[in-house]
Amino acid sequence: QLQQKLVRSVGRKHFLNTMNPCTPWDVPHLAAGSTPPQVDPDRVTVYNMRFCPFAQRTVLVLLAKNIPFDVVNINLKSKPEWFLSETWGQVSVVRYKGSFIMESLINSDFIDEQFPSKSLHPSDAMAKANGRLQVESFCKMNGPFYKMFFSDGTAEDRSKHFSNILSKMEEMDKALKGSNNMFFGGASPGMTDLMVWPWIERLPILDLMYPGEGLAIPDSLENLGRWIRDMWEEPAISQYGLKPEVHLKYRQSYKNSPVPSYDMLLK
Amino acid sequence: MSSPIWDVPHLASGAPEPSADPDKVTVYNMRFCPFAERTILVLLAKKIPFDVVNINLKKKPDWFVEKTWGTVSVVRYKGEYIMESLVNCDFLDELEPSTALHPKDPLEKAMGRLLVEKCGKMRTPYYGVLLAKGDNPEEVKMKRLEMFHEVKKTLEIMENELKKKGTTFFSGGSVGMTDLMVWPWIERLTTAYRVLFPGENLDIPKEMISLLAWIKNMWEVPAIKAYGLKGDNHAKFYAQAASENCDYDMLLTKGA
Repeated sequence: QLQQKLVRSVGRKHFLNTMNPCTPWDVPHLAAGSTPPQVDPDRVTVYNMRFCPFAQRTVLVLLAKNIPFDVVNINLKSKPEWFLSETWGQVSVVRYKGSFIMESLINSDFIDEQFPSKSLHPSDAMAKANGRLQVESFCKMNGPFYKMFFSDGTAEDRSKHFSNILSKMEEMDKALKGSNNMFFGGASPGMTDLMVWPWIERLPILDLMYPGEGLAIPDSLENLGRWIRDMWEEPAISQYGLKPEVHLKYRQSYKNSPVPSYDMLLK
Repeated sequence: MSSPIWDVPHLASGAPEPSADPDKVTVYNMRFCPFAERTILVLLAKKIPFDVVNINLKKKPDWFVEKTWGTVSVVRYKGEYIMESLVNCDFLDELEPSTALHPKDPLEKAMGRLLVEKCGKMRTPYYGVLLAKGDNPEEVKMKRLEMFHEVKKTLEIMENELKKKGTTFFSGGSVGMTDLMVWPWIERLTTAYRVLFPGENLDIPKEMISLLAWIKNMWEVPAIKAYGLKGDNHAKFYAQAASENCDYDMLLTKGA
């Protein structure tokens, strides 16, 4: 019944085939004053926030590699004391065997190395380095995206930020065009695909927030469009990914109250 | 005695791109750049043969700007360009796994990378000391002291880490990736500050015994012995680095 409920709320066909009834991220966001969570040191625990794109990278890596994990969600406006004293105060953090590994790129690499089956990085050193540089370059879109997402500004500001995002989208489209593969990682999504995805998932919010300003991914970027559709078909993406309307609802919850509705997806 | 491979003139705009042996590592470098030093140290530590192309960063050659992201270091190998010192250092380490500088254990490796990230926080105040400005000399001195106080926060982290580990190097009994990635800024602040700002006590506190021991041991590491610059070299470079005609080749004209 829970499965059917979730299928209805997310509305994706693949859920029936691929969903693990356990969605460890559907837990309340813990705030200051909360008791420290008990964790199993031999299991990966992710300190997360349901709508954070950086933390999403880590969750995607775990899902793509089929590694079982637990989630502790963090209220980022009212951070628990134990979170601040044990970590650098940001999500995601991977907690494993008594250690805390900060920084989404570092903890994603850690997971890929700790659990070597189904490698997300290519085995060739050059290909791996190029993939990392692609992440570095494509993710230059994150800054302008945040400026548009968090502050209102003027239509002129938005247009300027969006043109920076657009140049990165064009770069991605060109890279996909030049390759014979479906994904940056090859026949299935690799580290590059997963590290970049969270911001691509959020881009359609901009057109919803500011309709009529042309803040949409151009149809002319066919390769990018095809990649986006293919990514949504991937179980790791569709299990955790959220539709733009949901992201928008979260964003709007910021405007209505000092604390966003972190737990809005929980029943 | 032949001069080291990195003692070559810094190429400026107008100079043609040198041809590179695709099967040999070429580093696009600047003799005094701390980021680029990381890459040179890794190559030396791993005994990987390499060529150096030095770049005049104030008058960058067109080919450098077009083919790379415009900053050093860049590793050029088999027709590809790998930017970003951390990325190209990892690349080189993976190229020759027999001389691994990263630990084998993924957890240990991740912890090392996090320490490098943490120590990176020292960079801003480090430059803050060098670039401090004010309306009068006393104000500038105060600003420098303020910035150095910030630098010391990272030095304290490093001291505590070494004390906790109880090993000679951050990486254990022998020098590793963590040590080499953080070294270049320590090399500069321990040599340049006292020459540029004598009497201002911008030194590592004597109480930081473990850190001072680490520094002493690092100077004995062959890679650092070969490439590191002692004495007033960094100070001399910084003293004129802001000028339009910054002399990147100052060590060449000095003679071997």
